[in-house]
Amino acid sequence: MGATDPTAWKNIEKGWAGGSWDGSKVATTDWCDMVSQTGITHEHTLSASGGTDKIKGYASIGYLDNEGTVKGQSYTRYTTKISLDLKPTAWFTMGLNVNGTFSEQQYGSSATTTGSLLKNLPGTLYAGATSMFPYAVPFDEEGNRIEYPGGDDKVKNVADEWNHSQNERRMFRVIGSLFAQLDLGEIYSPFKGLKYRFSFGPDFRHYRNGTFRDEESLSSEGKNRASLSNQSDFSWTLDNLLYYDKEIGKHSFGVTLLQSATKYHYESSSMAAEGIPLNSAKWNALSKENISLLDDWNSSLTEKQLLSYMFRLNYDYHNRYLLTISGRWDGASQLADGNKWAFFPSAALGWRIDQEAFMENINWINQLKLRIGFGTTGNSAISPYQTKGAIVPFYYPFGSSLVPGFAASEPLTGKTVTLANQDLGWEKTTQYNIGIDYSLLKGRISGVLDFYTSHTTDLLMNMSIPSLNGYTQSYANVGETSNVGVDITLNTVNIKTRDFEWRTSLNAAWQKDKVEELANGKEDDIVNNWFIGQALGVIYGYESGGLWKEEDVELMEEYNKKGHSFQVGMARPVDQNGDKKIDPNDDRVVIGHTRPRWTLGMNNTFYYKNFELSVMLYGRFDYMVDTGGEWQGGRYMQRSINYYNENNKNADYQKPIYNIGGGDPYYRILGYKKGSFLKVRNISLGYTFPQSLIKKWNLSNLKVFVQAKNPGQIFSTIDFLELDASQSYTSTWNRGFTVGLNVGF
Amino acid sequence: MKLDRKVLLGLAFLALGMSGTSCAGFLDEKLTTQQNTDYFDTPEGIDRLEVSLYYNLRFHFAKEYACATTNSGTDEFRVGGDGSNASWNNYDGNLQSQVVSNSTKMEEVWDGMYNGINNANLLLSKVTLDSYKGSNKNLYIGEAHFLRGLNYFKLVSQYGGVPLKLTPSVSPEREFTRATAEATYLQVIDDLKTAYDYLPSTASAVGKMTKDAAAHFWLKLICLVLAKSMIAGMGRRKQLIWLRL
Repeated sequence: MGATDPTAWKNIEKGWAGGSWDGSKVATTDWCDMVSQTGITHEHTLSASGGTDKIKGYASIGYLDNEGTVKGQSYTRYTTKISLDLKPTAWFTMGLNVNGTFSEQQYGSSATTTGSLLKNLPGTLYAGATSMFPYAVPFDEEGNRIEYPGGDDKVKNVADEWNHSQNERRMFRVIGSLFAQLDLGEIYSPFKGLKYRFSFGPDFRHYRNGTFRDEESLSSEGKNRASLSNQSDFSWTLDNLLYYDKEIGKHSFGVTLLQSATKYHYESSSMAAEGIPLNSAKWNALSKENISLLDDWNSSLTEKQLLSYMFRLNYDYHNRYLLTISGRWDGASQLADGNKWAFFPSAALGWRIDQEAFMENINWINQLKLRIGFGTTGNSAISPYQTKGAIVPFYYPFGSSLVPGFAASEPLTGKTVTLANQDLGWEKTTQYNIGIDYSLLKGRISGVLDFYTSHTTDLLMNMSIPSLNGYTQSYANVGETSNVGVDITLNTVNIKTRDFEWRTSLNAAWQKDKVEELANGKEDDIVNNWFIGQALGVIYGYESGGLWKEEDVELMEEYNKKGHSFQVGMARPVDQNGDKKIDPNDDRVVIGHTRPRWTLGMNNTFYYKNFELSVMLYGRFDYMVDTGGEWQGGRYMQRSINYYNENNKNADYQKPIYNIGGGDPYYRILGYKKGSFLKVRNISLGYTFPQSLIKKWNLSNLKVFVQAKNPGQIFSTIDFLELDASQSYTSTWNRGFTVGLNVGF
Repeated sequence: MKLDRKVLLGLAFLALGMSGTSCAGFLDEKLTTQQNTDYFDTPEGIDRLEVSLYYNLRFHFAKEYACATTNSGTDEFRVGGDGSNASWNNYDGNLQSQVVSNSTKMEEVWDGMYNGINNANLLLSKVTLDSYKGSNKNLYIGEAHFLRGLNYFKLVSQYGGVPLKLTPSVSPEREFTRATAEATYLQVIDDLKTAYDYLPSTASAVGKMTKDAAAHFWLKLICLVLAKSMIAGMGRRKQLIWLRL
C-alpha cells in the first residue's frame, strides 16, 4: 500500500510514532459526512376555486424543490390541476379533470444506467462512502485527488463524485378524466331513476433518463460513459355505466351495469456509449460523428388490454337491511387463449342494528352495523407475451463469419426465456369477512372490527421448473394458499374539555398466511422456496447454532473427519439429523417467515386552544429478516461488529478469515435476525390563527406548522438497520424537519 | 335550438362510448417485436435453430464452471489463488447437492446440458418430418444427435445415470425418472453412432461437426465402458452389438 497510496501509509505510520502501536493517533476520515448534506425542501401551492350552480371550477399550481441529503441529488416538480364541472340543464352533467406534472430529478451518482455496470461496485454514493477506508484521505498534501484512497483498485474515491457523474431523470405526465352523465328521468319522467354515464380517462407519461459519468467517477474504470433512454406510455380507460334506482315503499333497489375497456401502450428506446470525446456533451451528442460504436442500444413496444363487464344489484329494506350482489367478467390480453376470461362474484349483507326498534332506548350505542361478505377477486398481473413462446436470437462465429441463430432457450446468451404456458389463466382469491362498525358514547369511542379468511387458488407465478424441460422458468398457475386476519380500528376521544382535547386513533392488523398446496400436491417445492403449511415468504436454510467454541472442539473434529473444515470461531450450522455432517438434503429448515404478523399504527392528537400537536407511531412485529451476515473477508470496509477473536470469545459474528477465498462458508446463517420495531414516524405541531385576528388582514384562514419526520425509534430488534424503510433491509434513512404555512384568502 | 345541440352532444358521447369498445378482438395479443416458436416450423427457422447447437457447445468450455466441473480435481488443473471454487478440487464436505458458498453452482452444468438437449430434440423433431425437404436434412440429423450424445456424455460422467429426455417440451413437465447409468451410456452410444452415420467427412465451415469428431467421442466412450468393465459379463458378439460396432 505504501507504493499505491503513500498518503494513507503516512497516516498509518502516525500510529507507530511512539514506538508502539497507538491507533488513536491515526487520523480518521469521515467519508459519509463528505458526501451528505442537510437538504432543504420548499413546497408552494396556490389554488383557487369558485363557480355558480351551473358551473364550478378549480385550479391549482404547485412547486416543489427538494434538495437531497446526499450531494448531487435534487428533485424539482411543477404540478397543475384544473377541474371543471358543468351542469347546464337538470338532465346533463359533465366534468373534466386534468392533472399535469413535470419533474426533474438529479438522481446523483447511480449504478442504475442503461446497460450493465461493473459488478461489486457500490450502487449509490452513500454506499460508496461507507466502503471507503477511514485511514485514507481523498487528497494528498499537494491537493491532488487520490484515485484509489487506501490503494485497493476496487475502492474508488467518492470525493467530488457529484462533479464526475450525473443521472438526470425528467418526467412529464398528464392524467385526465372526463365524464358526461345523462339523467334520463329528467328528460322523460317514466325513465325516472335511470342514468347513463360515460367516462374516459387518458394517462400520458413521458420519461427521459440521461446518465453520464466521466473517467474519474466511482463506477468507471478508465472510460467515460453516457446513456440516454426515453420512455413513452399511453393508457386509457373507457367506461359506459347505466344506473337505475327505484323505491317502492320501504324497499329500495339499485342496479348498475358497467362496461369498461382499458388499453396500455408502452414504448421505449435507449442508447449508451463509452469513450465520449467531449465530456460536456454528456448524453446529448451520441452521434455517428462522435462515436464509432454504441455500447448498448434497445427499443421496445409492449401493449396490453383489459375488458370488463359488471353488474351490481343493491337492495335496501327500511335502511336496516342492505344487500349487495355483484358479478364481473374480466378479460386480460396477456393470459392464454381460452383462459383470458373469468367471472368474479361477490355478495354482501349489512344489518344496521341501531335502526331497529329494540335499540331505541339504548342511548350509549349511536351506531352499530354488522357486515357479512363474500367475494372473489382476480389477479392477472404478469408481463404481456408470456404465452407467446418468444425465442432467443444470437450470433455465432464459424471461423471469421458471424452467423445468426435462434434457440428455444439458451442461458449463455444472458436472456432467460420462460417456457410458454398455453394454460395460463387468472389467479382467484375468495374472501369471507365479517365486520362491525360501531360508535359509542356519543362518538367518544368508535371504530371498525374486521375478521377475514381468504383462499387463493391458481397462484400466478413465475416459477422454477426442472431444466429437463429445456427451460428453467415458466409462468404457471400453481397451488393454493390461505390467509386469516383481523383488522382493528379504534378511535377514542380520551379527554375533552373546553380548551383541551386528546384523541387517539389506533390501527392494528394481524395476519397469517399459509401454503396449502403446490404444483405437485402436498409436496414442498424447495427450488421456489415454497413449503406446505408455511407462509409464502420464508427464509429456508441452515439454522444458526452460533459459533464453534473451544469446549466443542472434540465434536467439531468429528465433523471435520467427514470432510468439513470447521475451526473454533467459525459459524456453526445446526446438524438437524445429528449425522455429524452438514448436508443440504437433511439439515436445511424453514428459519421463519418474512412478512410481519402484526402491524400497528397509532396517532395521538392533542388540541389546546388553537394549538394542535400530533404524534404518529408505527411498528411491525413478529417476522424474520435475513440481514445477509458479515463476510469478514478483510478486503472491504464494513460496519463495526462484535466478532470473534482471542480477546472476544463470546461474540455475535465469526472470526475474520483472510487466507481462504470464500472465507467462512456458513457466515450467512449468522445474519438471520428476528424483526420487530416501534418508531415515531412523525411529530407535528400546528397553530391556527384565530378568526378575529386574521379578518383584519383580509384572510379566511392562516395556519403555521412544524413537523419532525423520523425523529426516533422506540425500540428495534435490529439496531443497525432501519426496518421501516422497506420490507427489505437498509441502513440509511432521512430525518427531516418541516415548517409550513397555509394561507386562505 | 340551444337545447337540441346539447341533446345531440349527449347522444354523440353515447355513440362514441359504445363504438369505442365494441370492436372484436380487443383482447388479442400480438407479439410483433420477437420471433416465437412458430418460426422453427419454417425452413429458415430450422437453419437458425441448427446454429444453437454450436452456441451450446460453449457451455463445455467457457467460463469458470466449465473448468471447475470438469478439470478441477484431475491432474490437468488445480485450484487457483482464489479459493472460492476449492470444493470442486478438494472433494471436501462442501461439495454436495448444493455447493456452499461457491461461485460455481452444482446445477449450472446440469441446466446448460439439458438446455442444449432440448434444442437438439427440437431440431430433430422438425427435420425428421417427411415434409421437411431441406438440402441439409442429413447434416442437421447428424449434428443434433452429436450434441445430444455429447451432452449426455458429460451428464453421465458427472452424475451417473440421469433422466433421458428425448423429445422437446411444449408445456412444463415436473416428474422425471432417473435412468440407470447403463441406459444413459447406451443412449450416448446410440446418439454418437447415428451422428457418425449422418455427419459429413469434411466440415463446410470452420468449427462444424464432422464424422471424425463423432468417431472420436464414440471411441472415447467405448474405452470408458471397457475400462469400467460395464459389459464384461457379456459375450463378444453381444458386446459388439452393445457398442454399436
